Amino acid sequence: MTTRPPQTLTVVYDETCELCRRCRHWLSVQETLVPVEFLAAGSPAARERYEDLDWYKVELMVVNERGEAWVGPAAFLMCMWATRRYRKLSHRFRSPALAPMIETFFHGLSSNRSLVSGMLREHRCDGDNCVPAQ
Amino acid sequence: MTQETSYLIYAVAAVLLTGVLARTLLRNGKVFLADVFSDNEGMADAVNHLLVVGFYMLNLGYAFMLFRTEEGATAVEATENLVTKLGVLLLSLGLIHFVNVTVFWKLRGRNDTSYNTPPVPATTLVPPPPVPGTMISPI
Repeated sequence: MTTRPPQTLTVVYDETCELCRRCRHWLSVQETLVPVEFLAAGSPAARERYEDLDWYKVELMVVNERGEAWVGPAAFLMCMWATRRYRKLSHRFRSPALAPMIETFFHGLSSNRSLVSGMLREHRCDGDNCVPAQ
Repeated sequence: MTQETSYLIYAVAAVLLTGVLARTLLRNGKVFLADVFSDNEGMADAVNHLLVVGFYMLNLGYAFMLFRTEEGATAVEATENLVTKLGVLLLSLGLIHFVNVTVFWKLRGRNDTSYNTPPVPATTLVPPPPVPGTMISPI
């Protein structure tokens, strides 16, 4: 696989989880260095594109314009890398001391996302806009 | 030590310190800026000189403002005044110096392209997203 910098990134996220929706909103308001698109994993477009992959609804996935995909903890790193503010940090997270911890953290966060979501107050989402439900 | 001697020592010390610091800044700042404006040597020199001129003006202006002192009756008082002033001047010079170094550092970090490749290689290959404008292929 090439290491050419991606030109666009598509984030395939779990729209049924509050934590994921909030993270998606957070990323959508960050200043990004590459265009970032979002695709709900349950949407017809995602189903049509990725129905052969049985895991695309389970793990966070980031796809570039050539179909190269980052899955799970790597996808979280790619979301950070897309932002101006955290690009450097995303590289730092690969240091031998940090990488295993970061991997465990994102893996744990992802597999416990429904638990974490249960602790968050519901936000109302209307397309790109998410506001706390009154 | 008389009041006059103390004034004289202060003036000489202030100008010398500013001069030495500015020279350090000029020499070492050049390296930083050459890195930032690697495609434009003249630009690096120009920015470097402008920064150093600003440094001179700030420092000398501040040193001259500190110059005036209240009358010290004895030699001890005059010496105390002198030492306090030099201390304040050095602290201020240090502060301005570090601000300057920070500016150089920030300028250098601005076009750092070593982070432009993804932090991790792609995990797998999936169908790429459709490119707008190519979804309906012409016959």
